[in-house]
This record gives sequence, structure tokens and C-alpha cells, in this order.
Amino acid sequence: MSKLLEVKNLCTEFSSKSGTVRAVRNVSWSIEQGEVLGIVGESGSGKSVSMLSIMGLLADNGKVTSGEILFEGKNLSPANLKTKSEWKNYDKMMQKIRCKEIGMIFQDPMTYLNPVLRIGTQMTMPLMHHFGMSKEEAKKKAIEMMAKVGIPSPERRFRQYPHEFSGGMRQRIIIAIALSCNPKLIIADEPTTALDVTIQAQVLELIKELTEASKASVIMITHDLGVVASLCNKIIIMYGGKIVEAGNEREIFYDPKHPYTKGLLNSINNPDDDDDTKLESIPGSPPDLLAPPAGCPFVDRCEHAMYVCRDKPPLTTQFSESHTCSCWLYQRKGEVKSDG
Amino acid sequence: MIKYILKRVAIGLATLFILTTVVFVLMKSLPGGPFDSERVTDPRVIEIMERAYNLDKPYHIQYLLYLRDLLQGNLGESFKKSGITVNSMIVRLTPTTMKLGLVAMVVSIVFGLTLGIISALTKKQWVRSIIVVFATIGVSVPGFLLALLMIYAFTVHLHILPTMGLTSWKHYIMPSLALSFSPVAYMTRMTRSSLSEVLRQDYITMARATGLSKLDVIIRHALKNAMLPIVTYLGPLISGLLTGSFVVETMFAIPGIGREFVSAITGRDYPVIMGLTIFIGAFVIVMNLVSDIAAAVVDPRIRLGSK
Amino acid sequence: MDYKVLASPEELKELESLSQDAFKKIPEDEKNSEYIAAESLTYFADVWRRLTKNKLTVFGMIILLIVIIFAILGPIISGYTYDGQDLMMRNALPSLQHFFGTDKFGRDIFTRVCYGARISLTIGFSAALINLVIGTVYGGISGYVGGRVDLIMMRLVDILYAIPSTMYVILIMVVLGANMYSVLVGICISSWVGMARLVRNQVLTLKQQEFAMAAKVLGASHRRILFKHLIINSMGPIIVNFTFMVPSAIFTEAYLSFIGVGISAPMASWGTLAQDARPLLDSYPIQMVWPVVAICITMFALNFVGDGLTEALDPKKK
Repeated sequence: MSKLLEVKNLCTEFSSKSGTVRAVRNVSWSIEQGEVLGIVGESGSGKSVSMLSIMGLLADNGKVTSGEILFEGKNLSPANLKTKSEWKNYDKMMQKIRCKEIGMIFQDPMTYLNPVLRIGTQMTMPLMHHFGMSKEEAKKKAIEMMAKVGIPSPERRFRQYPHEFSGGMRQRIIIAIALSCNPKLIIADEPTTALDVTIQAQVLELIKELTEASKASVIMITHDLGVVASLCNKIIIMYGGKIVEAGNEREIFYDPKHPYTKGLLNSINNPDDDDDTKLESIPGSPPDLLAPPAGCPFVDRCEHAMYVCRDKPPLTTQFSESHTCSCWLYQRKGEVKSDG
Repeated sequence: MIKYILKRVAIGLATLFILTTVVFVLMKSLPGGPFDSERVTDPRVIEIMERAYNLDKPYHIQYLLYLRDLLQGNLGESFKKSGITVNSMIVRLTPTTMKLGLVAMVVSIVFGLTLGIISALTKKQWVRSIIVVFATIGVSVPGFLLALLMIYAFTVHLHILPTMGLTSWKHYIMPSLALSFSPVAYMTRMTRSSLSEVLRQDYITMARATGLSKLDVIIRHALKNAMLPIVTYLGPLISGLLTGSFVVETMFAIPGIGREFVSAITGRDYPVIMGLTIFIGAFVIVMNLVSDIAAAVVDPRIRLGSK
Repeated sequence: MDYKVLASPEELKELESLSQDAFKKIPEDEKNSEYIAAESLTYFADVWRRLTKNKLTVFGMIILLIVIIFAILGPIISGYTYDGQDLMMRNALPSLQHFFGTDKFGRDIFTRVCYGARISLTIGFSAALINLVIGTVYGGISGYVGGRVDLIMMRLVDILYAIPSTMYVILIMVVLGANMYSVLVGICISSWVGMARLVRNQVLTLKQQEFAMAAKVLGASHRRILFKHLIINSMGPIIVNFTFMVPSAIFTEAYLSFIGVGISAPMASWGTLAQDARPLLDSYPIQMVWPVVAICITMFALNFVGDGLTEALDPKKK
């Protein structure tokens, strides 16, 4: 399998009145064709910001400061752009990539559809833009997509406005838009967070079904380990703008290494557990990214925290080909083996 | 949609009814009779006059008679200029006021929108600062003071612009600038804040994620949303231009409704004050209605009653 | 254990050089897990800090202060009264004797402009204050009680709102006669509706929130919930609305006086002074300058302060 998207040493910062927020710090990962990657972390861990960095959709005060974003070998990172014409070319390139190569499903179906435009207009716009379709062709394709995502009587719905749809239906529309141009990669940014629990499973199932059919890769962003459990081949745990652990489903769920991952697992309800173990919460709150700790971002909440954790960032320890973790617990003196 | 319009029309009618009642009560509560200041002292003449104007009847009868007249479209007759009805005044003076008002409105909308859009979109700090300063001057300097300054500069000093009447295109320049100065500033501020608010919305990010260029996103997604508060501002804009026209028409000696209204006030010509108030009020109510309906056309949420 | 650390030789060396102490556990009490990032300030101290950061706002506040000082002390400095005529000194140009010159009756324009400031500021602030009280109580009750009462109360507001307030003010001026109090009454009767709408919408959203529910559960009286909880929490937008009501009332007064139904002679507001100077525009343009400048800088100052407050009180900009 070949790497579809590879992110190397990505750093993203936001300038704010109180200083620079270092939202993503030196993050590297990759995704292969047909793979489903889960990125898990609480809000402010930098997961959504990494995705917006890839898409080039950061707010005006956000900036990718360094790193590479290789999509099929093409570098999408705006980190080294300087002149106006370089930016212009970048914009042009991204306009061709967005939706056609990389589709994005957003979090809140209530706010991500334009309230004053008909659903049809919003669905046909990208089709006409990317494939130069005529209005009729685009309409046909859009109605086909609406049927595919399970919207009843799509011809009638085509002419309606977003507020005439329920939350679940709107999320289906957003999925339809993201998939309408047959992208190779789908980024789903917390696609179920804003939905009712009963609808969450349906929507996840829908995303799974449709992407399997089109053989697209998926990056599933979530704060809910339960969501990634059944879907993902590969899972990345982010905390405080850094990757703390990465591995496949089995490794993360049955052999977690990082204290944060363990904490996360303890805080979800496992229906298979018969004993009355209490759900545990992780004390404290995430680090302030205006002045992130020099060492491990989790140090202040970690029960195993050592003095070194505070002062020096941990190196990455590899447990298997797919399983890595950044924690000082696995880098004790004398226990270190290295590949140099 | 029809339900919405009917509701608006009902509110409009209620407003008009309350306005007429308020006007009637206020006029009746004035101290002294309307003929006190006239040179007529013969009580018999006054009695005849009062009977002619139904002033001898009890108030509630007067009120009903007055409403009946209004329903027939009769707004009354001047006390001061005998034989001249308010209706004839309106017919004679409205076109002038309308012409000036339309010019001022076009100026307000065109300049207000342009400046507002520029300041919301530009990345150049100095452009934004200039527009902000201009907009602050606009809301701070009353139009009639601007008119004074302009008259001093262009008429008294430079002798290049006329101040009397509305007979050539040159005559339009100063009055329409004086009228539209504050509206342009308001429009600029509103367009700016509304557009930059819309550009921060999630659906703009979503539209960009579908591959549309920034310009496409602005034209096809943002402008329509940003138009909403601006469309609802059109009603107040028209009232503002109307009240502004009272003083501007007076200053530039333009024979319109505004000047007539002011001279009726200073001359205490009560039937004219009443009649013109009701006419202007009705006009404003209709314009508000139009602007409400326009807003409903732009925003489906209003149209379908979910907002 | 079977794992390897991905590290360069330099990193390894550094790692090996770490002392054993570095790997000691940090005791619980040394961790600052609940540490608060931003220094905490009370709400109003925070607003004040942001307000004074804005140069234009500070400038506006200074101008306003100067205008207030002149309004209070001006007539004392000049030694003239606003209606004292000196027919030997008509239409005099500015001099040390008469700072701003004299008008066609030989009255000292500086004194009159200072009196105008008194009138304008009094009208501006009292109108805004009265509107604040009426609008807050009316809007608060309407939003808090809700239901049919709210519907009826808001319909009344809609109806008042539909007619330009200038029309009401003019009518009231015609009936009550031209003086400061009728200007005030006129402005207040028609312009509290904006505040009422604002407060009503605020109360309507706030009363759904937990703290209001909590107060209710604790058995607080309706009046206490409304004023101590809901309205205090809507203070931001209320203050902003208040600040913009002041210039708007000053404008209305100047406008009315200018068309001749506001303050009447011999009292003089800025609008009256501008109107008096209008016929003399050809011969004594300087007489027009003073009231125009006075109105403009005061309006400027108030708008700067208002804009600054809007920004400082905007929760989104924090």
C-alpha cells in the first residue's frame, strides 16, 4: 500500500491578543489508501486544527509555521510560502484539492449549512465547480447523492432550506456534499458529536458504508474512543497539541502505554464489564497552550509524573511496528535500547 | 408567507390607528382654540367658524367625524391658508420630496454598501482605518450642520453651488449629500459588521472546504446573508431620510413636504400638522412593511415562521 | 520489556546523562493541575482595563471631561450671563474680552455655548437615564413574565417603534411648548422602546439559564431574580445602549432647536445657536463655527466612548 497522506513535523500557531497559541506542535503521522485513521483527543488537543491546516482553512489568525503535508507526493503545506504569487498558486491548488481530492465532514450540522440557500444550491455548487457540470447534470447527481445518504423524497427535499431538516438529516447532507466529488480522502471532524445518540450510530454506519464503497481513506476525528473502536485500523491519541500514543485498535484498547490513554479508557463505559468498577475521570484540565510546559503536556495531570517529565519532552518509544508512545516511563536509564 | 404578511399588515394598521388617535388627542389638548390668535374677535364669527369645522360638537363625535374624513382620504384643510387642503399640498409637494429622497437613498445605499464591503474585506489596515474614521464622523456630525458647512464653503465662499430650490442637477448636490451623510455612515458600519460576522460563520468554512474560491464564497454565500440586516434597515433609513428632509428642505428652500411641515409647526397650523403627520406616518408604515417583506424574501427562516 | 526508543545518538547521550533524581516522582502537592492561566480580574476591572487600552476611547473620555468642565465653569470664567445684552458690542469678533465674540444682540457667545453644553449634556444624560429606567423595567417585566403579557407589551413597543421618534417629539413639542423639559419628555416618551426590546430579549434568554433556575429553586422572589440576577447579567448590552442614547438625545435636541421647536430664546442650546448664526453666514461665519464645533466634538467623544464600550463589553472579543 502507498501512503496517501503524510504529515511531517506539522506546527500550527494562532496569534491572539494574549500571545501565540501553539495549537499543534511537531506532529507526524500518515494514512494509506483505504485506511481508516482515528484521531482522538479532548477539545484543544489540536486534532481539528491539524485537519484545518491540511485543508488550508485556518482562521485568519492561524498559521502553519513549519512542517510538510504530502498528499500523493504533493506538498500542501503553506509553511514556506512567502511571495504573493506563491500564495496565489497555493490557493489555486487547494481549490482543486478541496472536496475533489479531500472531502471534509464537519462537526455541527446546525451551523455548517448556509441558512439562506436552498439545499440544492449548496449541493450543486461544488459539482459545477469541480466537474464543470451543467445545472441539470449537477442536480441529477445531487439528488442521486441525497438518495445514497438516505434522504427520503430527495427531489422535494432538493428545493428546501436547511432549517426544514432535522439535525441528523442535515448531517447526511453534509456527508453527501463531502462525498459528492468522489474524494480519495475524507476527513470527518467529530461527525456525530452534535447528534442524538440514536442517530450517531446510523451516521457512523453511513460514513463507513459509503467510504468502503468508494475505497476512500478516512480520518475520523473524535473525543470519543467508543466511536473509533469499531471503525479504525489505526488510532492516534493527541494531547496538548502533541501525539502521545499511536497504534492499531488492539494495541490501544488492550495494551495502552501512555497514562493519558489509560485514563481515557478508564473513563469510558465498557458494557462487557460485569463488575461494578466506577468510571474514573482524569483530574485537572488540559495545559494552557499559550505557555505549554517544556516537557510532556500531560505532566500536571499524570499520576506517574516525574521531574524529568516537566523539563524535557519525552522521546518516542516504539513497541511494535505500529505502536508508538511518547512517555518518559518507557525511557528509563539503562532500559533504553535504540536503533540509533 | 401570506400569514406573515397579514400579520405585518395588521400591525401596520394598528400603528396607523394609534398614531391618528395620538395626533387627535394631542391636538385637542392644546390650550386655547385654534382661532385665538386670529384677528377675528366677533364671537358670532367664531361660532360660525367652529360649526364649520365641527368644533362645537363633543370630543368623541369630533373624533368619529375625523376618522370618517380620514377613511375617505380627506386629511383636512389649512387654518392659515384658507381653501388649501392638506391633500392638495401632498399632491403638489410629494414629487419634489420623493425626487430628493430617492437620490439620497441611492447615494446612501450605493456608498454605504461599497464602503462597508471594502472595509470588511480589505486586509489593508489603513483603508479600514480611513473608512472607520469616516463612518464615525458620519454618525457624529448631524446632517444639518454638514449642510451649514457646505453652504458656507460652496455657496458663500466659492459661489459654485446654488442653495435655492431644486431646479437643476447642481441643486441636488448639497441637499442629497446632507441627507445621505449619516445614512451612508450607518450603512457602512452595518454592512461592515454584518459581513465580517457572516464571514466568521461555520458555513463559510464549509463552503471553502468544497473548493469554492474566496471570491465565489463571498458572492454566492456571504453577501446574501449579510444583506439581511441591511434590508431590514431600509425601513428606518426611509424614516431617517424623511425626518432629515424637514430641515434640509427648509435650509435649501426646497418646496417639499418637509419644508411645509416645518412651516406648519412654526406657524401652528394644526390641521396641516395633523394631516401631514398622518400622511408621513402612513408612508413610513408602508415602507416598513415593504422592508419587512423584502427581509422575508431574502431569509427563508422568517418566511416560514421559524424565526 | 521489549521496546526501543527512537532517538539520535546525541539524544541518547543526553538521556544517559540525566541524573537518577530526574526520574523521581513529583509529589501530588507540587503539581499545579488546577492552576488558572489568565490572571483573574473582576468583571468591571477587566472591562475598564480593555477600555483604557483603546486610545480613541480614552481620547473621547478626555474630551467629554473637558466639555463637562466648561459646562460647569465656563460662565463663571467669562463673567457674562447667557442673556446679558451689550448693544454697543454687536457681532464682535473673538477677543480676550469675549473669547468667542458676541452675537447680533451683543451677547457673549462663549457663555452661551457653555450654557448650551449644560442643556445638551443635561438632556443627553437625563434622557438616557430615564430611558434606561423605563426600558429596563418594561422590557424586564415583559421578558420575565412572558406569554400573553409579553406579546401585548411587545406589540405596543412595535407600534411605537414604527413611527420615527422625531415625529412624536415634534408633536409633543407643539403641544407642550418649547422648553427643555418638553424636549426631555418628548425624547423619553418615544425612545425607551429600543432599550425595552434589548432588555426583554436578554431576559428572555437569561431566564432559561441555570443560575436563574438555581435562584428560583432557592426561593428568591420574582423581583429579586429579575433585578439581582437577570438584569445585572445583561448589564453589558444595557450600558452600550445607554452610551449611544446620550448622543442620540443630544442630536434630537439640536435638531429640534434648529428647526425652531426646541429650546426658545433667550435660553440657548447648541442647535438654537447654530440656527441664530445661519442668517449671518455671509457676514459673520465665525458665529456658526462655535456651536457646530461644540456639537461635533461632543458627538465624536460620545461615539468613541460608545464604540470602545461596545468592544470592551463584547464577550466574543475576550
